[in-house]
Amino acid sequence: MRNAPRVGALAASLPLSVVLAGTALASGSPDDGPPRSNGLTTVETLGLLIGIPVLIIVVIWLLVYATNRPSGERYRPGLSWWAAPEWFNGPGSVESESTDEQQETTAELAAAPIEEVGGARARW
Amino acid sequence: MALVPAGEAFTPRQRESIDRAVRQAMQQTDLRFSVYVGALEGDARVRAEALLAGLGDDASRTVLIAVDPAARALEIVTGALAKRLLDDYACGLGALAMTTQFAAGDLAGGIVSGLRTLGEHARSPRILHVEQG
Repeated sequence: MRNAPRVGALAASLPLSVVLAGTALASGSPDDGPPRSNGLTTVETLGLLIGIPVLIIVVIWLLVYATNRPSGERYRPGLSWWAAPEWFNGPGSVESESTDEQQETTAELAAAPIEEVGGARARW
Repeated sequence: MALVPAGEAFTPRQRESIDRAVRQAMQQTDLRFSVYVGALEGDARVRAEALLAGLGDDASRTVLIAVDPAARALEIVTGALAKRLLDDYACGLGALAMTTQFAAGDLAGGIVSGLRTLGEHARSPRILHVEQG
């Protein structure tokens, strides 16, 4: 994941901004005399308008990433492939389950030599 | 990207879904479906046909899907009988379904949807002697 350091730094700085905002809010105790104007301080404004949205974004991003994380290595086109060859229902597999009846049916169709194969090819 | 250790090309869940798709395709049709994922050295087509021939007596009614992830090559080979029930046009459709997902990095998903496409397009053979059955 390329963005990991950036996101990590962002996530680390968020609690700090929230705490700063929190202390700024807490410092305004009732004994401070007449209340100041209703305007917010810079720190409070930043905390409310930037800190909280970013916090929400990060939480959602983490939830999405944690739940959608693909298990195991993922194939990436263009990069080399190291895994051993793998067969599904390959030679020696006994999953071929055709009944005698089917064999009889197909036997009437099957008369062509084995060289006569068809199919398709593609690259990506 | 870390090296993919041998035998770990697919997660167990992916392997299971491919196995299931193979079984479903075989239930829908009278054909045998086999999937090979690995290197196709030399001429991919020749190699894939050799793999099909290696399936022995079943080769004629087998549809082999050979995928070479490193070379980004896909070969669908149909045996002599399978070819009659699953024509090259249908194989092309299946190949398209697969390569679309391969290009997006979804190897297992591409194989599953390819098997599904091929299974749906395979024509069932005429059932003979139904009245006597």
